[in-house]
Amino acid sequence: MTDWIRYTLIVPAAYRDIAWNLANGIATPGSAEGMFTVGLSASGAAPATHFISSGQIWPEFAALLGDAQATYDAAGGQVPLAQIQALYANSVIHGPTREVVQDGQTVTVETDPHAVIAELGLKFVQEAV
Amino acid sequence: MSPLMRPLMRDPFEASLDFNPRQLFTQSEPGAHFEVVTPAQNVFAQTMYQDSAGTTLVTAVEQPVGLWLDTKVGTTRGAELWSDGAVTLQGESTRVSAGVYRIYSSAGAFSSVRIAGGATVGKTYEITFTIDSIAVAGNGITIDWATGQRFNTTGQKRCIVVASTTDLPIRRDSAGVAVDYQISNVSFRELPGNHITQGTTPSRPTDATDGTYYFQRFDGIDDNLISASGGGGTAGFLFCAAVTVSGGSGAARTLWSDAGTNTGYRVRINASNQLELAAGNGTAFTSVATVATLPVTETHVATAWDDGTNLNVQIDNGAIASVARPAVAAGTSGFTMGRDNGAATSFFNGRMYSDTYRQSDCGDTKRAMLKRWHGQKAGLSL
Repeated sequence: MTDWIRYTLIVPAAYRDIAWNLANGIATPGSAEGMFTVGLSASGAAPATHFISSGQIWPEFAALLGDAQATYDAAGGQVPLAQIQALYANSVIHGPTREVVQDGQTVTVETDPHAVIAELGLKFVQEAV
Repeated sequence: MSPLMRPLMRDPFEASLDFNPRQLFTQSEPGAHFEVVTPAQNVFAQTMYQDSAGTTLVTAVEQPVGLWLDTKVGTTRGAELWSDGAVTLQGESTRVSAGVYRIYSSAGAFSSVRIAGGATVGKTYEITFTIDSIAVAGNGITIDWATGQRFNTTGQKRCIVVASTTDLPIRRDSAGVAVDYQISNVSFRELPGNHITQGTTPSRPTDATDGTYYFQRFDGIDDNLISASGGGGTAGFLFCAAVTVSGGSGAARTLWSDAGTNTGYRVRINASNQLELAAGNGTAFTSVATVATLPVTETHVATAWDDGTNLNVQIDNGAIASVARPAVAAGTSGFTMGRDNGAATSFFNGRMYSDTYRQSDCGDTKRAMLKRWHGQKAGLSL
């Protein structure tokens, strides 16, 4: 486990269960259990409209991201392909770097998940404890 | 008094040049101490693991930390609990010779070698063994308590698990799948402490360095570490850590918490960016916050304590803010670092260097030395 890859994954709330089930079905047991538990919304108030998971992930999982057919195969066909395609079409997925436009030029920058959240107009859902 | 007697009579913490937070736990005081060390100190690999099961050591920066060992009593393991004479063979497993076992299941029926009643539920154990040979790999062999780790290659193996039963087993992994493994050199030893883990891979903080000092980097998104034991104190409290705030200004960011619903203790950077300690009496939280703040990009030592009379907070050696303590109701068993306890909120965004927590204050003199020690871990001179 030395080839960790940093990813930022943001999924709409409607697709949260699909994403969670896929991650748990593919990953080592237990290692995806807490994914997509952090809620986001435009106002920062509940209910969450999106869920985020960000951090270093195993390279085998990273290789699947965005590839619906490969994800479907890795999950053993337990989630319909159409649902996986819809999940990817509606999710925001960034690897360690991403392209942004700065001063009219497209440049590659290190992915800052906080910047991605801000660009989407979202905030963390914070509930008083 | 003879001058020769003076060193023996002196408080060992007074003017000590080699203070270590472990000295706060010599009487088995409840708490925990987590230390980020440099590779040169050669302890690096012994206290941090990339996975929560403790199978893979952290060997370099930029690796996730899924298990960080509490080293308040060092890394000393307990007595050997595995004894060949006490081994129970289950299913089709056999003893090949003294200390050498065959975990065998022809059709995937339950099969194990174990020490019945050797463990205490809730305690942490380090298990090591060697897989000598594999005739039928199947889905591998595992330890009953843990989920996630699966051993299916030859060589020496290690994992760290919290006991959920009193047995000490090594067994075939999956029902209905045949296995045939020969193992030897089995060791089960307690690993005392309140170790912190993160099972979810992307939620693990990252071991990192600025080139001089080492720290855990919490991303402020979902990184956190959890101990299943410790916490739950009511009579006093102490937390001390050096932190660098990287973001989240204007939002609450929890550093340490065993808080339940209006119970327990919680140390956080509040929405006004102040260091805050809260303690609950079962009905409400009483809190106190520093006037000074912890701004983004700055590194400071955060200290919070309940001395039995007041709740107190202090940044570095600045002004102490205090408020009368409530009759604290016990929080949860176990504690969380880097987010609210039991909730996916208030994630800390920044660097956490070494940190110490104890379920009792240690007094002004020792606390001053503790702050100084933590400051040094982040390059601060207090």
